[in-house]
Parts: sequence; C-alpha cells; structure tokens
Amino acid sequence: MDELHLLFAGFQTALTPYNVWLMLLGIGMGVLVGVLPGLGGPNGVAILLPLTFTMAQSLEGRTSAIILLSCIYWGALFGGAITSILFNIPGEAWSVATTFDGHPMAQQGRAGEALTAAFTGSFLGAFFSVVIITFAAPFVAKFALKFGPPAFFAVYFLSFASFAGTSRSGYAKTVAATVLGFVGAAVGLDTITGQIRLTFGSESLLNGIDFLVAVIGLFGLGEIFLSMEEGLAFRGKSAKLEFNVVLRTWRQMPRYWKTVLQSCLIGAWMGIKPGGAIAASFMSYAVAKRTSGKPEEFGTGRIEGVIAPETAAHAAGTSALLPMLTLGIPGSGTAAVLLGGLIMWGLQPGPLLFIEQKEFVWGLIASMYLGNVAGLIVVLATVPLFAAILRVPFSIIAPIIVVVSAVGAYTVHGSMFDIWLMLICGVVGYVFKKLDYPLAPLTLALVLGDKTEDAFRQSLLGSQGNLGVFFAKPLEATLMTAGILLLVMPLISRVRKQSRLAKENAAAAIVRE
Amino acid sequence: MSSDRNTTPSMGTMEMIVSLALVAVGLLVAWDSYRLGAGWSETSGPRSGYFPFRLGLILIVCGAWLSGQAFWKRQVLTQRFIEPAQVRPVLTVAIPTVFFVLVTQWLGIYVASAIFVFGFMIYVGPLAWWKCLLVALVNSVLLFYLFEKRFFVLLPKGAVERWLGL
Repeated sequence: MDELHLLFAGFQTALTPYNVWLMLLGIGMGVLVGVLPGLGGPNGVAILLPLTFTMAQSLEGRTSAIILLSCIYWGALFGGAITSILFNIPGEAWSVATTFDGHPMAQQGRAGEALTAAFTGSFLGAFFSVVIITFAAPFVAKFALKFGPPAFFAVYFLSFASFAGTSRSGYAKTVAATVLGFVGAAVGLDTITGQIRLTFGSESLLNGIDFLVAVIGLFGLGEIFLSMEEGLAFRGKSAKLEFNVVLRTWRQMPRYWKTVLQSCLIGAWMGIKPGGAIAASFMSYAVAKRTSGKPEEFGTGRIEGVIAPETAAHAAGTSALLPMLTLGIPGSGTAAVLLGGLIMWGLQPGPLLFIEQKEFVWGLIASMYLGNVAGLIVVLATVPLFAAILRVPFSIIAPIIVVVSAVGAYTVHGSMFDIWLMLICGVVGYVFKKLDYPLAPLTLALVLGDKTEDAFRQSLLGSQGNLGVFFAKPLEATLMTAGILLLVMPLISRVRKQSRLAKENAAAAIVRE
Repeated sequence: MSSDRNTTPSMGTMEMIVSLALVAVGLLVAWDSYRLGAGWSETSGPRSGYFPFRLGLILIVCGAWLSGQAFWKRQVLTQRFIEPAQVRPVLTVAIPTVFFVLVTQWLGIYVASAIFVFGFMIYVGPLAWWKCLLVALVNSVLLFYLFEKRFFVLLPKGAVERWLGL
C-alpha cells in the first residue's frame, strides 16, 4: 500500500503546530465566510488568496498555504448549514435543500439537533470522499499521465458540455455564459504567438481579466446587491448547542446509516463533475425523501432531510478536488479558485503534480482528513458565536464586505483597474443572477479558457489542422462523443417537443375545420 | 430615480437588453479576432484569432437566439426585473460603492473605506454616530495591520498616510 505510506508522510507534514493553527484559523474564517451574505466559498477564498503569496515562496510554505485555503473551503461548507437552519437563509447554494427540514426543526426548538445532524453528516460525507481521493487520485493521475493535448481538450470539452446538457438555466443562456467566460480568458497576451488580443488599445487589459477579480465581483458584489433588495432583516432562532444534545443526536445517527451512505455515494459521484455540489444536495434530498417510506413528513422537520443534503454537499465539495488535483479540472467554483491559487504559486495541477510535488499533494490530502475533524469540533463549539455575528445589522456588514472585496481584487495584481473591473463584474453578476444566466460555467471557462485553447491549438498543430485528431484514439473519441451527445441532446428533445406540439396544433386545426 | 409605478423595466426588456449586449460583444470579439487573423498559419497552426473568432460567432448566435426568445415571450415576461421599492436599497449600496472606488484612487483605500463604512452606517442603519465612527476606524486599522504589517501586501495609500508617516 504505497498510498498509505505516502499518506502517513503527509500526516507528518500536516501535523506541525503551525499547520494545525492554520487549520483552525482557516476553518474559523471559512465558517465566517460561509455565514455572511455576499461572501461565499469561491469569493472568500479568492479574497484571501493574495495573503498566501508571501507564504507560498517555499515548499513547506506552499503546503501550509494550501492547508489554510482548503480549510477555509471546509469551513465555508460547514458554515452554509448554520444560516440555513437558524435563519432559513442558505449561505451557499448547496445548502438550499438544508432549509427545507432544517429550519422547521429550528422553529420547533430542535435547532441543536438539526445543527449536530448537519455537521456530523457533513463530516461523514467529506470523510467518505477523502478516502476515495486517497486511493483513486494516484490511479487517475497515473492514467492521465498518458494524456496528450487531444485527450485534455476532450476532457475539457466534456466538462463544459455537461454544463450545457444538465443546466437548469436554459441551453442558450448556459452556452452564452460559458462562451463569455472563454472570451474573458482570451483577453490580453496570447501565450503561443505573443500577439495581443481583444484589448482594444487599453493598456490595463494587457494582463487579461483575472478570474479571481471576476469571481469577487460576480459572486461577492452581485450577492450584496441582491441581499439589499431583500431588505435583509435577519430574524433567526437563537442557537445554544448543549453537549448532551450533541451526544443524543449522535446516538440517533446510526439509525440513518442508509441515508448517510446513499448521500455519500451521490455526493462523491456528482462532485467529480463540474458544478456537482448543488445538484448533489437536491438529488440526495429527493432520494432520501423517496426511500424514507414517509415522504409526506419531509419539509416538516425530519432529521434525514437535514442529513441527506448536507452529507451529499460535503461529499461533492470534497470529491470536486479529485479532478482538480489529477487533471487540473476543478469540480466546483471554489475548487476553481484553489486551482488558480496553485497556478499562481507556480505549481501545475494535473497528473505530474503527483510525481513532482509528492509532499505537497499528500500533505494536502492528509490535511483534508485533519481539517474535517478540526472543522467538526470548531463548528460544534462556535455555533453561538457565529449565530451572534449574523445578528450584527446589515448596515455594518454590507460596507465591510464591499471594502474587503475591493481589497481582495486590488491585491491580486496590485492594480487599481482591477477594482473597477470587480465593480463591473458585480453589476454583471447581479443582472445575470436575476435573469438566470449560470455563473458557474462562466467562472470555470475563465479559469480553464487558456488551457482549453492551448490544448486545442496544440492538437491541431500536431495533426496539421485535421479535426479528426480528437477522434483518432478510443479514449478521445469516447470523451468527445459523450460531450457532443450532451450538447446535442437538449436540442433534439426540444425540436421533438416542438414538432409534436406543431403536429397537435395542426391536428386540432383540422378538427376545427 | 423616482419610485413611481411602471418606471422599472420588465424581465422581457432586460432579457432583450442583455441578449443584444451579448450580440454586440460577439460582434466585437469576432471583428477583433478576424483582424488578428482567424485562420491557419503554416508555422504556428491556428492563429491568435482562430479560437476567439469562433467564440464570437457562437456568442452572436446565442445572443440572437435569446433576443428572439425574449421578443416572442415579451407578453409573458411582464414581471418586473426589479420592484420599484427595491431600487432605492440597491442604489444605496451601489452608488456609494462607486464613490468609494473613486475616492480610493485619491486618498488610498484606508481613508476611503473609513469614509465609506462610516457614511453608509450613518445613512442606512439607526446607529449612534460614535459607533459608526468606531467600526469605520477599527476596520481600517485592522486592514492596515493585517495587510501592511502582517502579510506585507501593499494597498493603495494616499496623502493621509504620507502625512502620518506610515
């Protein structure tokens, strides 16, 4: 068991007092970010990323930095549940399903029980996925080592196609948002030919549109504008988490092993695909409802209704790191930001990472185990504190979040222009959210745009312009075909539906005549 | 902005504006890429504009499709994009944010954010002035300590910092 050996070495790296302190700090910041409106996983990590630049100049520093960032991520995942249950406001999109039963439980005075169930479920889901990462990641990485540019392009293509195929936002809007992300990524210097593209003479655009700045604007500022619309009066249940409530809930948990297990499986599977955490939480809730035997009681404060979405969301959020580490394709928005962090530190995520940066990778994986244990303890201990933070008036929180976002955008390149860019992205994010243009594929395209284009151009260069290169080998051909099917299926089913409608209309017209 | 009825655009109108904007962006991208060369080069394969040119075309098609959709559904999409009563709260945060960014260019981010936080809290929240002042100052000092002293990340500074010798 080579993996176990490497993992133990990883534990040694992660368990220094300094790194444990960073874990606790990260979890604390993450929960805060997850709890506050306008801050979430992606933009929370994006804002804090520049702080790690000085840290990440040495090898040990980089491991510490990724531990800090990934713990912010775990914290944000935990934090989403707090607002969902106590305030009926999902801090994150993946905790929407948690409100269905979590808030009714809080209203019945069972907030402690709901929170404990949510946190424990989260912990189990994440743990399940980390185990999968531990054993599957080296295998996937070894497999991916043989990938050439066409295979990488095929993988990218499939990830983007799966957005268009499965998005709830409508086909054209998803494609438009994705393409807009690619366009944003193309702005600036073309690394292959050294030509300058799409800057229209603006010097500030030479560096391109940094996706960190875009994420801070799209998610952070956009969210603040939306929150202002709602007027935001927090009227939440107070949270006291007594130790015996925690113990009592834990004694109940084994009864729900089936819910936990199926949620783990759904989450781990969905998380590997881009944008999976949100879908996973809803799907897991629906499955738990259907298999419970008492579907009518769901929505009134069933404990499974809290366990299922939280377990799945965490399992998905964690397994999203598997494709990020092994293929360089992030499975979630936050994973995309983490990926951006690795690139900025000079690491190249992808199969080679497992060979060239063994210590870093295994330190990170070990920290996932430890971070989630630390997370569970921290959130159980600090719920009242964070619930109190939510009672701070929005007139204080809103301007501070705006300031922190501006600081985050500025520090990416130390450029004033980026603050303006963030502002523009904030307006775009607000309008897009209201009109239901999906932001996840846009972000992913901003991150992966350059790499996708490079893979595409290198493939074509190798094949002298023959597009057949993407179908030359079984692996590429399978991935490309799957991607094309995902892209085309919704169109076909729509045409079918419309022609059926047309036929029915025609038939009705004939009858009338 | 007045808060009369019927002054805010409908969903259909906004869909139309955004989709036409997408077409415009698509045209701009396609034009610039075509200018750079969107074809094949014997030495370096696809030229710089190859990929973006095609992106531009897709964007034009999607935008045109969406605007057509918005046009056909304009009778259905009559729901307001934003309720008249919601305009004010959104502008209360949007306008000061723009001023905050403007002032940052002159006075640096620490002073600008102190003014912004203080002003916003006074205007929006029913809070005592000294509380607002305290939060504004603590926020700026904390930012300064964290970024400048702790993590050595330099943020924009202005005349006040120079005067204080920071």
